[in-house]
Amino acid sequence: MKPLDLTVLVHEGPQARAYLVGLRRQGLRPRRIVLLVRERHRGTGKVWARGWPQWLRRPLLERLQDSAENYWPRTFLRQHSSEVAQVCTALDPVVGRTREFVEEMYSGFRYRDYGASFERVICDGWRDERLHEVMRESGPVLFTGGGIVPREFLELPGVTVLHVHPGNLPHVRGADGLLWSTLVRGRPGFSCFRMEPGIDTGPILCAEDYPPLQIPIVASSDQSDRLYQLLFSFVDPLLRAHFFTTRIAPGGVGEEREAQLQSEDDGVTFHFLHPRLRNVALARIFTGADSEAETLPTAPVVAGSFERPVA
Amino acid sequence: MASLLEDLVARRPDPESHREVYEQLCRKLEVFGRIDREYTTSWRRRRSPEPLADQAWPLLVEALLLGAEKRDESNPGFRLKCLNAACKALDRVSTDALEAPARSALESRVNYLLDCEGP
Repeated sequence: MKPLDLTVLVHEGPQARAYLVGLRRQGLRPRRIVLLVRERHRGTGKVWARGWPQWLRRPLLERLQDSAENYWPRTFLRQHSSEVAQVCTALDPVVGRTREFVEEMYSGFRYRDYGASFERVICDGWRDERLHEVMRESGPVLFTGGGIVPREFLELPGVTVLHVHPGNLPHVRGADGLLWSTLVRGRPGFSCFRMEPGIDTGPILCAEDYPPLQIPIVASSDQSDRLYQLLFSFVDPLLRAHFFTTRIAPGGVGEEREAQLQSEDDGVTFHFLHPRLRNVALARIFTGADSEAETLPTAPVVAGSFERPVA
Repeated sequence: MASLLEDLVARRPDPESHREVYEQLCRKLEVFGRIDREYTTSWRRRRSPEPLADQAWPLLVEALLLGAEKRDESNPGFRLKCLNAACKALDRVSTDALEAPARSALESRVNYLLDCEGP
């Protein structure tokens, strides 16, 4: 395995697992994996097992967050395996051997098997000094979570945070990127950029449109919440991982890599979709009929040459 | 705010020429989940903010629909962003603020625009 000068900051869930499986497939081994172990329940805001001894508390917290953050992928694999199979078949032209990819993410997966070093940090969010202490001078860091990361984390000394956004920047910024890309540009798009305090505004390493998604599952409106979860359990993580591990990681992720500055005036910042418009986007993806996906372009689009919308 | 919305609805200017206003309306509604009766000139909240009156919400929906109805294929994102915000604003319109026929008319326009976006 070829070493990769990258710290993968793991926010437990399908996205982090997909990145690591994808890197292994490319024969790349990140220098370091840091697993965030959240001590506060995301739903209730309660701190778990406060005062418990560390040796007992850490595995408990890890188990709880694993159950919560991987609830939907595991539920689909257990109860709706035929739908997962259809998703895998649809992604095969892009990802390749997708079923094996998904199985690796959820059968006996261990973070320590994917990096040269592995550590865990119990913390209470991005502003926690315990996290800052572990992350200072880490060099390039791959962010695997979602939401807004505070400035104080992004400005830690010796740290450059990379993120893959599911939209072709600067055209599609903000939330629900995969669905907005489908609505606005007719296909998914992905961009890797160095994170800055603004929303999806940092310098772009690479941006690219992918072939339109066509998954042969019927998008009935009463199933839209479930299809939304299906999309974010497998489709979005696997495509982001494909983009990062084939377009970004092989060329290196350090400061020496050229990046294209963005102007905040370019593009549109989108917000979470209303359920009715979300249904329209889902119906474009879950087509309910067999269809052949386009093949991917073989050469990556370099920063600065990404496609502009038709004038 | 109500007078700005009235003006947008009455004059029907090109939404692109009022892009900043539309961006701010969408942002206030979607990120903060509220629209105030007044903002400063730089769209910041007033010191003692009051919510937009219920009676002004149909105007907000109407203004957003004007943005959503602009068929400008060079910027479909702006149009769809306005439609998304209009859907959310329509959900917030109270039954007291709008009689059933008027509500139904707005619903029809939203449905038509959603149908236009169909797969």
